[in-house]
Amino acid sequence: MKYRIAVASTDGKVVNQHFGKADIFYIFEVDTEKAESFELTEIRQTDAVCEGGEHSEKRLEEAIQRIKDCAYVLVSRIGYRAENALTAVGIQAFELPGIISESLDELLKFIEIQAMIREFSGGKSKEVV
Amino acid sequence: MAYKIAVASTEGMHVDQSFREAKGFLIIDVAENGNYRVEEIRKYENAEENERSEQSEENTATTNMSCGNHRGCGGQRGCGGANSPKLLLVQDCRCLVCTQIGFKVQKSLEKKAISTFEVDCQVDEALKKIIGYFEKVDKHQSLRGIARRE
Repeated sequence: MKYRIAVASTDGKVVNQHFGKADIFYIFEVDTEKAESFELTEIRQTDAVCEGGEHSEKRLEEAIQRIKDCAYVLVSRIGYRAENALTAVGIQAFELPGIISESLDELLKFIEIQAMIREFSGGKSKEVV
Repeated sequence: MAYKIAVASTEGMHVDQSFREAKGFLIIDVAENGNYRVEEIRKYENAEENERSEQSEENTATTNMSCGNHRGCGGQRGCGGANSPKLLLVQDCRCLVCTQIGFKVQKSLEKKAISTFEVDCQVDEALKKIIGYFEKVDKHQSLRGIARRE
């Protein structure tokens, strides 16, 4: 299975941008079938949503459209409103500031463990050992 | 990879508290080889006072989903108490083990890639199973790493 992760970073090395402030997303592709755990496939420009405390509804919508093909978005921080808007289109947001490769590794392991827990608990929404 | 697990237990034997009830957490240090030990007990200072502020924050979040009244997407606490003092206690842990946890708190932890386990058993029993899960995931990853080098 292939999926994409959008990473908010200013330099392509560190997850260091708030979702609202990000004007560049580094797009990583993950192929669960292949040995490669993740690969940078694209650097995508967008307009930052946040304008000094003000949120532009239109810009938020545009930003989401730009990364709609991604399953996850990795940021240093994200507000509830943007997070909810992302959830509504099936994108899950994670706040994992740090070195991109390390944060991605943490995210991939988390995704895997969540899938494993769901499997063991019979698809219940709450995880039970 | 060594990591930490937070457990809500009053006496260290049973997992016997919900996230809300917990006045502190056992912090378990898990070594690379799967061995674990209690590293520390993290107390939740001013438990009652913080609980009240947490509740009021949660209420605000349900009635007003926008960030307008708070410090915006970059704020220290944001809406819904994603960075409430109690959550900060466990933010360096890989997972949290308790009897019950609210949906909102669970989502806030998930956002930081922290898994939650709702259990009703002995601390050791829960830890063994959970460490087993993590071991599988970590090994899977390392196998991928080996394949990549070949």
